[in-house]
Amino acid sequence: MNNQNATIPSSSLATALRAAGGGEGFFFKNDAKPLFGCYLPAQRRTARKCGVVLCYPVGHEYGICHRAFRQLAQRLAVDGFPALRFDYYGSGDSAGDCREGGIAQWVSDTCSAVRTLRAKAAVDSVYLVGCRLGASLALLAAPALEGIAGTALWHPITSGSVWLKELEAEHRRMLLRSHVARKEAAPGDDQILGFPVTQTMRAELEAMDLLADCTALGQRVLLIESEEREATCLLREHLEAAGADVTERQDLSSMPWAWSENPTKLLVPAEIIQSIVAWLKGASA
Amino acid sequence: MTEEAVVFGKSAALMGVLTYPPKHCADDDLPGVLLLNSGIVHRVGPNRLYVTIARSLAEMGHVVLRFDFSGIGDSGPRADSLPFVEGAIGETQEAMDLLRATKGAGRFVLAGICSGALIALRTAARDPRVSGVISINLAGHRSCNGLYYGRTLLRHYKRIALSKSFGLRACRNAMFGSIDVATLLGAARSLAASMFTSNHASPDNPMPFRELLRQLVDSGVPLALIHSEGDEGLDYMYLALGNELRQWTREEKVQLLVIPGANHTFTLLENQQDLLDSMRDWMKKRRQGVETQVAAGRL
Repeated sequence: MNNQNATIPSSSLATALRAAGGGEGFFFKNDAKPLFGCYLPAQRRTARKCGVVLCYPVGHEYGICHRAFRQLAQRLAVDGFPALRFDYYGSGDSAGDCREGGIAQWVSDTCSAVRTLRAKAAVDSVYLVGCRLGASLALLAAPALEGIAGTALWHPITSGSVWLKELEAEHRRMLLRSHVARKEAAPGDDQILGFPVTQTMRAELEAMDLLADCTALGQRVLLIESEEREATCLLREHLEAAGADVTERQDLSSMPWAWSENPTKLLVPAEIIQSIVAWLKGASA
Repeated sequence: MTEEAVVFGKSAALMGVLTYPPKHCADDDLPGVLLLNSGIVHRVGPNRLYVTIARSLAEMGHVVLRFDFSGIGDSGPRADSLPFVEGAIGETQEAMDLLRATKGAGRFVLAGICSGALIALRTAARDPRVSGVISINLAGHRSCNGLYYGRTLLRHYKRIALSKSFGLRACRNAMFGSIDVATLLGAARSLAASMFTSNHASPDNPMPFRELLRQLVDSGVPLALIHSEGDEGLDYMYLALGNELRQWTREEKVQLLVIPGANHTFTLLENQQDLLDSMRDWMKKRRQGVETQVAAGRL
């Protein structure tokens, strides 16, 4: 348990979280493509000089993560960080069809979200917090942006091809267990757990390898994993070699990333949220 | 087509997204459409279905609002202690007020999956502005007493075992030992437990949705009951209404649509397309029905 959030008594925290609400929903544009954002201004009188952009996962993991991200944004706002959550093009409330997404588009959307946060809040620097593929996108977007102070990577996807294989195995399990019956698949019809996967998307994901793609990175990085994984160890070594100051947090509560037909099983991992908030407070102090 | 983020509501800050039809097909005479949260899934819906549905219906000329009930998605919590269903009905009415005040909409079609269907039907029974309901995978058995809940599940598993879509796979899984024992045990446990619990139903009204649907059919509200073939709610419908349901469909008071090979949340893309096509067809038929009644001087 991390006690670094004890500056706010729990009863006051609950009140503050209620006051923070869900935030201001709005559309902003990236190359004329409308993206949905939800902005929460800092709740403290003295807002910090750094803001946070939250990068969602994609596909079925987006839905699993949505409530946790809302809670995280509220906690950040209460602690003085202006926070922006946003949906990538072709995802969530943003414009576009699910088939129109892809790594290049989503990295570009992340950069646009950072510019939007800077326009909304008077901040000197920005932290990126990404979850699953969102973590990978944050890491890929960071070098192209100025004033990125650090990145929190929550269960990052290190290799797109490995992740695709995991999702495909999960999809096969779903086909076996759930009451679904496939019709004849049309040529080029590719789907995983409720979402289409286009050839472009597949090619971009298969080519994504953080150990190769992520180069010079002179910033702070928080790496969150629930268990020891070889891929995470390699990523840590790679990031340190690239000049990053890496903090690793393990043994935190896990998230059920596996697909479930019952959406009422969504969880909010309080330990992980506390850990991210505490790291951001320490890093920005 | 344009979309706009809105915050509204008296009792809580409710967040939603309005989808407007393209100018060339906008029609002020068409009812506004509200898409109601499916469980705790926020306003994009399971598999982003509500976004797809909203944009598709907007292309038909409807203004569509999908929003989060208080405490769900990006909406704030309520300050009072109203039970969820009561609060959600009131918030749906506030959403209708918003569309009336800003877009002049006077009639509405409510649609929702699972608990969204429940709120849509209950609101329709209470508010005369509702001129149609698309109830998708209403899980009516979850509000029944234990006996009916158990009977629904028994009917469901029997139907699945014998169904053309799922039966063969069930047999194959059994033969090759590919059975999810934990899921089966969980289902058996909940079935056994359900026999001794009353859920939310009162003793004098063991099947509350039967009465609700009768009330709506009697009052002439057009209803589409869409069910996935693999969903338990379909079994509840047959169990609760049986011949009455068949009569309603024959008399075209209710349209019962079954999406073959689909699960509760329409995971497969082809099932999502089937659902969308069914909704669009029903909206067109509903519109033709209204035009016929207007021509005959009945509206």
